Amino acid sequence: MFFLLAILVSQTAFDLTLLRPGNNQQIVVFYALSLLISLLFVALTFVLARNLLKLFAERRLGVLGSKFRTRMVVGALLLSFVPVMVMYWFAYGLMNRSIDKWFSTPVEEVRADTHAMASLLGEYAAQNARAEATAIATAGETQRGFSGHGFSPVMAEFQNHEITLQGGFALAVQGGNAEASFNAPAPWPLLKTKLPLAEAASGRPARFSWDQTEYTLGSAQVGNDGFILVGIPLPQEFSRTVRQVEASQQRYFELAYERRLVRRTYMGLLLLLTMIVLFITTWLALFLSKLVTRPLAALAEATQEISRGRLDYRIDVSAADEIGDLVRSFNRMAEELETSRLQIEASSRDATTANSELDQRRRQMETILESIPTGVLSLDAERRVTHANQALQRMFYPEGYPEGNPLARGARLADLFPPEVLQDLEPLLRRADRMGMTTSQMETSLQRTSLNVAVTVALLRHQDERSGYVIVFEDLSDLLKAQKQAAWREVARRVAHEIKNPLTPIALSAERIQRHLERPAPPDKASLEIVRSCAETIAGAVETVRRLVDEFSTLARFPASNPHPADINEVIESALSMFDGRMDGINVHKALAPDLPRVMADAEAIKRAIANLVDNAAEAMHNSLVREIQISTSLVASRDAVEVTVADTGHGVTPELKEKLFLPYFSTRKRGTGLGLAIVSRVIEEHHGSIRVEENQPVGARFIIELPVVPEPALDAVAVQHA
Amino acid sequence: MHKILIVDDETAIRESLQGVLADEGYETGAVDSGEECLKLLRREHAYEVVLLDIWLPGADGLETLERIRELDNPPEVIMISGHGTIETAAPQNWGLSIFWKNRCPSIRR
Repeated sequence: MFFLLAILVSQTAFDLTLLRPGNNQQIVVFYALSLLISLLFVALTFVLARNLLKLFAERRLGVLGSKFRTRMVVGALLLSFVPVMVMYWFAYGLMNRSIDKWFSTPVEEVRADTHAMASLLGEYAAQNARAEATAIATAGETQRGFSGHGFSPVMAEFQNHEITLQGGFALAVQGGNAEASFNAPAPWPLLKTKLPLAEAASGRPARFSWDQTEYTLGSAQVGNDGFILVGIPLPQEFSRTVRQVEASQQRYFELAYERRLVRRTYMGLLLLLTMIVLFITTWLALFLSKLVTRPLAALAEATQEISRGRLDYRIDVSAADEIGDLVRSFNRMAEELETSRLQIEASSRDATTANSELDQRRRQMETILESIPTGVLSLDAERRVTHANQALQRMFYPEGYPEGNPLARGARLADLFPPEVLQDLEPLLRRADRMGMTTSQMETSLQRTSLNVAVTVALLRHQDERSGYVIVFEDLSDLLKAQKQAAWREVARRVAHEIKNPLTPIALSAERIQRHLERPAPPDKASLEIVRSCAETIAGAVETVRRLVDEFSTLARFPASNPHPADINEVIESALSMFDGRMDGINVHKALAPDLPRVMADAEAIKRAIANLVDNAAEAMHNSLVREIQISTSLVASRDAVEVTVADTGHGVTPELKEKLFLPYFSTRKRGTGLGLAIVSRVIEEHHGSIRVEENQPVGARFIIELPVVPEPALDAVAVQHA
Repeated sequence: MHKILIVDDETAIRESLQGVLADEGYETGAVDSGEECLKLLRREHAYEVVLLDIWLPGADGLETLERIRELDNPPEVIMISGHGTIETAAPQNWGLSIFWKNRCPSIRR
């Protein structure tokens, strides 16, 4: 359709009215050529315009690369325009000049001269003929012949002019008939039709050819209706030459006409060439810029896609040279980006999983920390609180905080605990610094609550650097209470047992007395004796019960120990003084170490306990041959304790008995109630000390008590108190 | 006439029981421990019944019972105790026929 339109446009744009169907072949060729040129021109112009319009539109729309393309095209056009124009004008001038040369002035003059010469020669021959005819007509013989005297004289006249006729002919015509003829090439009737008589009569040059001979005619009037006609033959070459000249002239005129067409065609050709050059330039510019802009556009698009996160986007443009390198390296970059993003995603997924696992573990740890009944306090290296759990709060602040939240993160230990607790904690923290971990027991009163806790301080180390502490407070109050309850249950059970034992003989004896008394016969002497012995048994049993109850009430009244720093040797001396003069047959040896550190001891309670042990030993040696009690004291430096040993040479303690020995109210003796060792054990426990039994060498038992020595700060405190 | 041996560490109980049994016409003997009991039983074969306390110093009642069983022609044994019940004091495999709680001292013929 565009093609048709192009043809239409070319039809109107070019003046093709010159189209005249001529049999001249050149015109047809030129026409065809110019048509082809115009078609090509139109087509190229159309394509070029289309490209440019497209470029313009793209530029308007801001299509990527259009500016570059425009610049390339404008640049290429500018670059090619000047040489093309120069070439055009140069070629145009050259063409004009050659065409003008072709139709130059000398050629024209020669042509005109030849033409004039041929005319003059013809004219000259015609004058000759006219002069010959006049000469014949004016002759007397001729005049007479036409005036009715016959035409023989005319004939004679013709013969007179035979030479001047130059081989031509002469005719005497009167009334339309040839009355006399001389040397006529053909009879009159034949000639009459061929001869241009009117022209000859008018005096104009007239020609006549017969049988390949050309004649120039001349006539002269004779009388009213007669005339003499003379035909002088022209040279045979002359007429042919004149015809050639005339033909040449005709051709020249035709060529002169064609010159315009030729020029037009050449101009068209030049225009076409110019257009072709411009087209090629534009096309080349577009092509070259496309080589750049297409990969660039793809790159730009790819960049946008990648910036939107589509890292799997790749440029699918094959380009050579540096642009190709660029595209390939871009693709490589995108690939690396994608790989690294995948890696990042994978690692972030892993990290998320790990984080959630960590978080879960942390929450679990927190839950555990918050749910355990043990108070946990973690401190940083500066001994500031990093975490304190609920149990700790319940333990130390059962009635809520006095003001603010001393357990908040970053709080100081001094805000947290009263000075006496701090005093106990400080040495523990120091010991933890040295040893990593330490455990101790302490008793404190906080907010009207007495608290008995086991404190464990652990040092936190991170890469050989102290990073903080964990302090664990274990509430021992319940445990101690439970232990106490268990002990009292045991006491109750034992007491019940001890009371039941005398009840049996009482009941038996009472029944027996009753029976004897119920006998019908008056009681004989034997019966009375039995009754008396039964009454004695009852009294004895009752005495046992009474003693038991006394001892039990002593135990019930047993005051709680109140340890103070005390000299253990003094306590032992005072305990032994209780036995003064009552140790019949028993040797008591003392081996008391001098300069012992003070121990935390309730002097009265410890005195009773030691007295109990001595009494126990004396009892155990009741049936022994050697009866000796050795009492010694010594320092156990490794445990910060003082050891008191009571050794006897009694019956000793079997291994099975060892286990039960300190259970409340176990006894192997019949005398007494078996409360002794239980009381001792309880007193020692209250002093945070320990008691154990070993075999004495060579015979007997050895009871060993350990009591803790007074810690240094406490000593100072006591000193201050005393001061 | 049956001869009865009483084994109990409490003198008062021993004496009371002896008295009661003597009133009923039994001939009785008394020792204060399982070891003494076995010694006596090995020496004298006259005892047909042993009243044996469960809680004894040294070898206790149950241990003593086992030893008695090992004797030739062992006497009948009556376990006595002021505490516990037959269930706790005397499992079935002891083969005991009488479990006398001495809290209930009435002796009926």
